[in-house]
Amino acid sequence: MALGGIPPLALGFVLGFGSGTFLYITCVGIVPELTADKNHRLLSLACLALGYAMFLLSDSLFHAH
Amino acid sequence: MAIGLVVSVALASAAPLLAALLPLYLAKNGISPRMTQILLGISSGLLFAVATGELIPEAIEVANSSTNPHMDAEHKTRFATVGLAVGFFVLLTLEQIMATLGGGHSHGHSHGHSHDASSIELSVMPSSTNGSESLPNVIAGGGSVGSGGGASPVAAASSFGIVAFIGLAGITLRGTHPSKAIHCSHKSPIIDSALVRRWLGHGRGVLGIKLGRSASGPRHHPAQVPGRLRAVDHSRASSSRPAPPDTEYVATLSPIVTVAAATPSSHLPSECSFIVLDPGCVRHDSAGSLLGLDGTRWHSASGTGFRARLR
Repeated sequence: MALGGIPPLALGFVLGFGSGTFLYITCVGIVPELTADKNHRLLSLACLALGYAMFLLSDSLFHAH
Repeated sequence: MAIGLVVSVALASAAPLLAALLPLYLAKNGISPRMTQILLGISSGLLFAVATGELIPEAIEVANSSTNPHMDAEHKTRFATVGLAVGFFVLLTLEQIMATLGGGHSHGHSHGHSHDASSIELSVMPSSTNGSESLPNVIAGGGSVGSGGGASPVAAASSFGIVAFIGLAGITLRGTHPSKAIHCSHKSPIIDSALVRRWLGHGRGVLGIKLGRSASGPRHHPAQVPGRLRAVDHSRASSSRPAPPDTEYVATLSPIVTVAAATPSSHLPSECSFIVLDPGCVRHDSAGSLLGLDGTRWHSASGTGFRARLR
């Protein structure tokens, strides 16, 4: 509602910017940290997949715009 | 409605505070490496999912909802994906600047005894470590910057980040390309023929077009550069909107070949040859001329065109 005055192109850019920062944090900050621990690699990957699935599930159940 | 808004705002405000309390609690009470990995994995999965499953589609959808008549869908989509790249590179640059100034964000990568001096995030602690003693190490640190592993973890992180970024950007662009159509305006670069073949070669037939004027010699046009083609979505040409003045050629074959030239009739190419990209759709043009085409000229307010039908 408050974003109604922002042009759609600018809003798309901002949303893309946010997703870029998220991807950076995930790919550069967290995932190397996960894979560096050789003892828990499979566990880390499983938890990553679990987190992804959790979001998909919650998004499909409670998604709203 | 006002109550709902207040509740929503309260929940949105409380959520990050509650989330921030979790690592504080864990740091004070100690946490095993296994639990750290589990929490890190779930949080990274959630972040990844929010970015790829929510933000990127939303950004593209919002950008495409723009009613700017001077931009086609691909350019609108590009706004969102360029925003993604800018966000990625801004953080990358910030981190490099901070690292140069000595206060960067770095990781210990679980080398046990060596803790990162500048890290302010939850580090992996040995299970025997007392939480109250390790907290200052986590918050303030006492070692050297960038400890534990030298350049190798940094290089691995950078490589993974770059590969992941390029891969995701490629998947995003490929998956959201509007209806597998090629849009090419006077500002767009010439599209590589292999790219055209891959995108539109299935069932859409010929896309390539080569135009020339036999009377005054071959016209030097980028479309004549060997191996490179210029193609424009047919729907753009058939719409009521006039084409930009310097959009010269529009070509499609599905099943009618249309070659439109928004130029004066004197500039209309007197010789056309179509490069067959999908041999299964049309006969192969071995002579490189008007083989297989029955052309008629037409005129409209936007210019003069040459329409050819496949025999």
